[in-house]
Amino acid sequence: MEIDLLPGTLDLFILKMLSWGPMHGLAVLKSIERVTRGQLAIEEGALYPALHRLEARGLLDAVWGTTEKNRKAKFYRLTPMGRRRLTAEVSKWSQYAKVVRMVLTTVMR
Amino acid sequence: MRRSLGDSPWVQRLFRLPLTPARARSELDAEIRFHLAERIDELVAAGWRYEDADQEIRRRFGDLEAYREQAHVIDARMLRHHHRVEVIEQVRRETRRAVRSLLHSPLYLAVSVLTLGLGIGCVTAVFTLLDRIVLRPLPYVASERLVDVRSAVDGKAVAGYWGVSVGGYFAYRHHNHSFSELGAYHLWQPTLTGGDLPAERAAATFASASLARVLGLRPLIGRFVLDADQAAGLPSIAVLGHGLWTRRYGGDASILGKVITVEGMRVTVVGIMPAGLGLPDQPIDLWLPLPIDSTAPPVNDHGLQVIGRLLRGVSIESAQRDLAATTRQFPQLLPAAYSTLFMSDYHFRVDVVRTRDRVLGNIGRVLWILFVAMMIVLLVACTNVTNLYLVRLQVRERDLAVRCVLGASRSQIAWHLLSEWLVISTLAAVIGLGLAWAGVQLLQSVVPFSLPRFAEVSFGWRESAFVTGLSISLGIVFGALSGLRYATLDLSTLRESPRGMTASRYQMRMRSVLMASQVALALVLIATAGVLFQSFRNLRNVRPGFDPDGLVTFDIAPPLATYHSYEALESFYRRLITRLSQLPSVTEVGTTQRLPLGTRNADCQLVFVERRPLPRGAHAPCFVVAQVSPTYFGAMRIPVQGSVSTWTDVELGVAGVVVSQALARRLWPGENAIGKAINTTGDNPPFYRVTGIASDVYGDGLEQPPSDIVYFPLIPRAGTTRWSPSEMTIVMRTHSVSVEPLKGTIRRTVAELDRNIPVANIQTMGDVVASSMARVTFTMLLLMLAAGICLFLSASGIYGVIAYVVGQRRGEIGIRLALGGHATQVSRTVMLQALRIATIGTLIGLLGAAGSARLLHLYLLNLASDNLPTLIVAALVVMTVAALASLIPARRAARVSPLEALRN
Repeated sequence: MEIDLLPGTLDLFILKMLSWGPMHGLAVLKSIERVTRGQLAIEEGALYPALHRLEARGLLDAVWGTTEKNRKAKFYRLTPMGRRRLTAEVSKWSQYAKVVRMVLTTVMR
Repeated sequence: MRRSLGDSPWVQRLFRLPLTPARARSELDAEIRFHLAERIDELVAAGWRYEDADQEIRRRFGDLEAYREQAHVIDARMLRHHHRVEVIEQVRRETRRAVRSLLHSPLYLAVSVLTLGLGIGCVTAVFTLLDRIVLRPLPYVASERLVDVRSAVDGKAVAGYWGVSVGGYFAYRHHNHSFSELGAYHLWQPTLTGGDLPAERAAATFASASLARVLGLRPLIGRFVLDADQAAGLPSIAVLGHGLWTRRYGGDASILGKVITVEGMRVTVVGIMPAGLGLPDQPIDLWLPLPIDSTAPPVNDHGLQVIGRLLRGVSIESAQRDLAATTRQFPQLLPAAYSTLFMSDYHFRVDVVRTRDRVLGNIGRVLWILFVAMMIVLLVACTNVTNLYLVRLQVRERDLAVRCVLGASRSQIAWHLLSEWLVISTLAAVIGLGLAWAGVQLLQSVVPFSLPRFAEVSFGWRESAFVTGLSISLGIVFGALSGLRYATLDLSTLRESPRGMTASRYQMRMRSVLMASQVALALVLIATAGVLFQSFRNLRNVRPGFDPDGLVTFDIAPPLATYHSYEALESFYRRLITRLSQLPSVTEVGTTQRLPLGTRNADCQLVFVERRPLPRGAHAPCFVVAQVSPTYFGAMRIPVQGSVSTWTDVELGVAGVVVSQALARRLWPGENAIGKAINTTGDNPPFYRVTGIASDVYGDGLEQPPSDIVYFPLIPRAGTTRWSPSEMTIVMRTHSVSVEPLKGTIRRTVAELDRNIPVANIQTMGDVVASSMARVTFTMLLLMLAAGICLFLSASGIYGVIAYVVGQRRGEIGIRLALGGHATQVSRTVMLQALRIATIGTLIGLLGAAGSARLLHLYLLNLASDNLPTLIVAALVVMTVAALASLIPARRAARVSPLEALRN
């Protein structure tokens, strides 16, 4: 089953993946696929506007480097601001998820 | 996949070239290419055919073009934002740096700011006057279309302008195709009485209903004069001006419909005008209907002031032609009032002039001249500041070169220089604004006379905008000039000694040019002020023909309703004069219809001479006349040859007249005027015998020729009728120094006789004389102020330059002294150098001064005088100041200790 992304979720996922260390765009995408076990329906191209938007907002830093196969790729990493944002977003989302679950599992008395 | 990155690429990132939109796009393309290539490789490795793999990957990627465009738009926006932030940051940084570097040399900062502020203040103060008085339109709707229509006469009359006759006014109204409307008015100063309120003189006007359409007058409450009001003979309604309404009636709207007493007439208040709405440059307290009737037989009497509103697109010249055609037809249109002979004898013409120009007179020229003068002050201030800056630049050249070598961009250095100037000029603007504001306040409180529209002068946003614009443009000009200088600065400065010889020579030439132009500009101003001062002094030296010292005057207007006979009037004045003469400190008192140098308009009267019949059809000449009391000449100390009629003669109706010397010469050249006879009613009896010749009085202005005037008695000769002046001026000769303590006494004395007679304009004759010279005095004072500031600035400029030169050449001077050079010789060399430059400046300045003096005579003074002495004196003053200013540094040069100089 494939699930559509809620708005803003892709940005959060990118921040989360990059919290493990700098990586290029494709690596970010693969990490998301791996973590979600391919259950999310994302067009791969949607990644790039998201990455550039995060960079423009100062949440990400980018630099050109080479991959193991010796290809040139653009590597992204979290800036301190990005890290702070991630923390804030994570707590917001867990709160949200908790509330949603609470509402959905409540039984009428 | 996850490759650990060392710090190195991230450190390199700091040194990346700034991104351009094109580079950002190619990086984005490379990023996407990498993505696609990697993915395809994966599939190919899994056994896909390359073409299928490519297709599959592109499908998974989605709309490649759309995503690429989205990302690019984000990049572009980011780049723009970063660029903006960078510029702002650079500006902030360089401004901070400029402020800091200025604070390191507080003396330079203070002197520059004060000098520039002084210049800006002078210009702004005069600009305020210019703006409010000259540049602003009159306070009416579309006021540029308002024109005055008047009659121009010369020939047999005293050349000048008359008003328009009633017949003429209607003729102009009906026979023109240039005006949307013509309105007429006639000023009057009636006395308001009634109720418990004290009697008061009001500035009133009779106004035609059409005047409201010409000037766009709309009452605040009620209505204005209507056409129907004009038909009635005596006015029965009145419209109150805002000033009178609030002053006398407490701003109470219930006055509407009530009856007030104006000069004994009872009129109903039907409207109230809004504040500030009057006739051009004439506040009006009371508007009454102008009782004129187009069907009445026309009379040759030009008592109406006419204002017209031109139709859109009609030029003043074509309106003039239009009315001139009608005027030429006056003998046909109004045969009873205008004969062909009258038209030619008086050279009677119509004159259409912009209302604004009539109100301003030559004050526009005066203010423009002053504005130019203040601009010169500003220019001299600027040269001083430039001089200071050149010294500072020389010191800072190395700093700038070092910064340049360390990689500061040209734009950074340029902004740094510009921001220094902007800081200076902003501070100068603040000081200038303060000075200008204070200057305008001072003018308004101190200046005892009135310029036209002076009441409208205040300090507003236009003045502030002017200051801001002026200072910013000064800052930019200076900044650009120093940027230019910087562009020629090459880095070899670093290798050479701190003071590169090339720069030094360039700067020395620059300094000499600045110094010479300062001297020249200062000379122009001083000479111009000198010329004006000369003409002011000439005016002061004119003996007016009477003795103004210790004379106090005031105006008085007994209501004609009470004093309707000559006898009643005469006995009132006689009693008043007697009472006033008995006051302590008062010696002699007289009264006259027309005070010399006063502001009351003079009518002229046709004067006929006994046994001198006029040639057929010719008109008698027109002369100023004044009714005076027998005591007038004594009180004014106007010497009279022959005799003056006594009170008894006057009361018996047998009094004669006194004529002025000028008039006697004109009417009876080479003969004795005493015993001759004249009248104003035609060459038939009764005549007034000339009993005395009064010495000449400059009554029309000290720069005008003495008045041709006939002094008539207060009561006409038996059997003749004369007008009764509604308003007279009392002149009192006193020992009192000040007029203030007399004011109460005068009011009390008049009120004891009749409490319904108001007293107005109590002032000394000295004040009257001063206000007749007001414009010349005003112009001269401001020009002298400008010249003084200019001279001071030039002196300090010269001092600065010479002191600097001496400082520069200390070593050389030291060597000379060590080699046996004489101290006086050294200081002489320095002085000579200064004087050489000052002489060049003086010569150039003399040319300019001669030109400006000529212009001044041509446009302002209308009197020829010899400018040469003034120019020479001005040149001497400038040279002396230049010599004095260079003397101190020159003497300091002579005291240079050879040892110390050489050691350094």
